[in-house]
Amino acid sequence: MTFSKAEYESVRELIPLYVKGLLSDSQKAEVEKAMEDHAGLKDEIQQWKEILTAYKAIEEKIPQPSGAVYSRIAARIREQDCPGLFGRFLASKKLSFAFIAAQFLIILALGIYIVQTKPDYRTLNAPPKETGSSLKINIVFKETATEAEIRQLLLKVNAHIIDGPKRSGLYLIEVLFPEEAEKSLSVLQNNTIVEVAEKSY
Amino acid sequence: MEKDELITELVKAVPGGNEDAFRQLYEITNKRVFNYLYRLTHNQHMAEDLLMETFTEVWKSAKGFRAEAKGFTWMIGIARNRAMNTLRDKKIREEDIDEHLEDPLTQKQNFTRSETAAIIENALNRLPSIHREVLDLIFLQEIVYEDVARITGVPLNTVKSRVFYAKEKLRNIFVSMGIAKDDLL
Repeated sequence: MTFSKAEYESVRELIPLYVKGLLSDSQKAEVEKAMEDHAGLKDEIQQWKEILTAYKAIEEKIPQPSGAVYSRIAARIREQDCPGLFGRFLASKKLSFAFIAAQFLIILALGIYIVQTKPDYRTLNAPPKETGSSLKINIVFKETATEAEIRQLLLKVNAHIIDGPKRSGLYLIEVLFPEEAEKSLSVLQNNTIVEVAEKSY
Repeated sequence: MEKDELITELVKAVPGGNEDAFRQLYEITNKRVFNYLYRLTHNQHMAEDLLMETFTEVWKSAKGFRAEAKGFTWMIGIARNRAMNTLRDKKIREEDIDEHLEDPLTQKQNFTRSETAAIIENALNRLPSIHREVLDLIFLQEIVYEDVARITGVPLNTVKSRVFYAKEKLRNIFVSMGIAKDDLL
């Protein structure tokens, strides 16, 4: 049986796989049949067998991988599957976006709260409160009056401070119930901790 | 079941966190993958690190495995990518690797079988990496031409020509070692 050059080359190509035992049965038979007719192929096979032998020597010299490698791999894949909170945060785009959105909402809510909430105290340099047509009274307390006594008196007459004290000790107070204004003024004027109390116009 | 088929089935079983299948896959293939990586790097620690990276990637990417390729071919492809990136990052050049090779053997015309194997082994280590790689894949990893082409990303005919060019190159290396071209191959 004679082979064309192309057929010869196609068999020759198979020889490295033949010597390594990687051919199917039909391919193996094809190579062995071709060998009977072509002494050149036998030489080729012998040469590749020498290379195979050298590879066996190479393989024997390659060290073994350390037995600890699998433990390292196992630790790593478990870490990947159950990452810590920070790891999950970094790994998840959705989670990191949700975290940023939550931060933004908190800052926004805080801003709205600060803008809308009026403090229930006033500073000394705050401008006088705008008030309606309720009774306002200029009042000076005695030097010896304590804060507790002043507070108690103001609660008694349903009044609160809207300005003061000035350097002279003058406060401007407002009586919350105008219908009781005269009575409240009288109570204030007769109280022992009050130096002077007069309507403000 | 053939070994290649078993490996492919194990790769398919890994997605979903089947650690038993993954462990079995490691036990069957780690030595072959390590051999491949060691031949690329000539460094045990680097090869072990790459082995770890390869199997971590196998665990992570197994759900994307398509059975068009054999499982082992797919794994060696991952190992190759990892190794190439590392070698590129570390700027390890072929000359650097060659420095670690043994000195050429002295000239001798009648060689025993073991001497012949030693000379060829030495010459194989001196082959350019693209030619050494295809022979390594065939003779160490038992991978056929079609799969070598998949792994290296070159056409099938290029793989075949590299194999035969490698043999020719070996003969030229013998000459550089002071051995007549036809004394060995």
